[in-house]
Amino acid sequence: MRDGMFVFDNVIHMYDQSPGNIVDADYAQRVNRRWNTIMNTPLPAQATPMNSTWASEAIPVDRAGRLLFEDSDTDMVVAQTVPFFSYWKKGVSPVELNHALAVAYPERVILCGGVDPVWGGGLDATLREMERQVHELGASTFKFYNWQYDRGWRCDDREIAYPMYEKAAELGMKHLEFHKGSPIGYESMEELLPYDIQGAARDFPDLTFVIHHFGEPYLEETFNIASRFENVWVSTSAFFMNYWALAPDRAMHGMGRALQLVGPDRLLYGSEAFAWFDVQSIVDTFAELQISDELQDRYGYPPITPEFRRKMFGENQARLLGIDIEQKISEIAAVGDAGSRTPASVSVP
Amino acid sequence: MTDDGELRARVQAVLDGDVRPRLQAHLGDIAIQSVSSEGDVRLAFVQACAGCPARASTAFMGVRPFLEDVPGVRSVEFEGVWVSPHAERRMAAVASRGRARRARRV
Repeated sequence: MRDGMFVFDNVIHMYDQSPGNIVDADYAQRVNRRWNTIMNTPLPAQATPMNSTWASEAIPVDRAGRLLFEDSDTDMVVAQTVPFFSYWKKGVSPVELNHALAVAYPERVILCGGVDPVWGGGLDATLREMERQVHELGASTFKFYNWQYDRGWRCDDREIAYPMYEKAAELGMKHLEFHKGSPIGYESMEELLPYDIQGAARDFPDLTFVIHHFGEPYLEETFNIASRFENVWVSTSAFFMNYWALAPDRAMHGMGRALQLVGPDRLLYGSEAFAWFDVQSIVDTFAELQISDELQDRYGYPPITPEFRRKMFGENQARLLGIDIEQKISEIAAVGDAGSRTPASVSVP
Repeated sequence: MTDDGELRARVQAVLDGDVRPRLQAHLGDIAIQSVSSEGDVRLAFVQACAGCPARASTAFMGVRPFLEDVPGVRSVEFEGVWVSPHAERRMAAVASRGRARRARRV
């Protein structure tokens, strides 16, 4: 909890940077070296340095849990698989590693699975994998990454995408997550435009589609789409942390425009742990985030009120997943201190 | 808070006459959510207006000025419109100048 607000992080990733997970190709090695640079970027003065050895290994479950639930005000997280297989064999954030965190902290971690129909062995195999991730691993939602290196698929593709949405709905899911903008490697950035979410949102009105990173650099497009489609939500993942210390006006423009067009009920706080700083620094930043008086004046952005902040920090994510916050607070309290957990039964890959 | 039927009817009449035709020309519309006996009016944009980037400007320069002149109306608020107090004041000032010009022409 932070200042009485339930902190429900829309997106953390259990990264696996171990050498065995890197695809044996020159382009993959180059992307991995650049990724390591991100994880070891010099930090603002107030942040705690990351353990740089994480740049070459899978994140230990007990260390991740400690950073999240002991060393930060975070109450719950969605541990998001990233089904990005062109550079990492099991994906940059493998489902098994995120599952391990969910098993270790069942009262606090929601598992977001991840599949890809192009790199995952075809549609039939992908649909079977979706079933496996739900029935065997307990996934509550899925993350999608549309384009990988040199090939991909569209969110409004009736032959490839729609069967996956139908399967997700059949498996009881109410929402799906999408990496938009922010290409990680050498994929063409226009393939990660949010435009294709519109057709999907129109044809699946009972599903909620969450766009990540504000769709950067396609912010205006993302906000326009979310403004018109009530079943499109937006995660603040990465964006405000990328810019808050570097270029605060840029961060405020993003947040202000998101609030102005999308509103406070469909925005989700997301830390993208463990890409940069310690988690508490990110919580602190979001707790203190405010649109400057100057930008409120010149751009009409609304101020971030306590109500807005409370919604974005955790109430919206809880509502999206059908979680009763008061009940969850009691459940977490009953379990007691999070501690460092690596149950003997969990096999950490 | 009780809904004032008589005041609501007056507000609806103004919306129907001066406001809704302009919105409907762009496939949009606006609906009354509540009208209290104290004169607090709450509106919501619907159809194409609901997600329109121009709805804030429409709200404060194209709708509120018409309703503020309705006897009994104390305040006009809009669901789904989030702007700064600075922007509200600025748009109110623009709307006020427009109303003054219209009054001089009559």
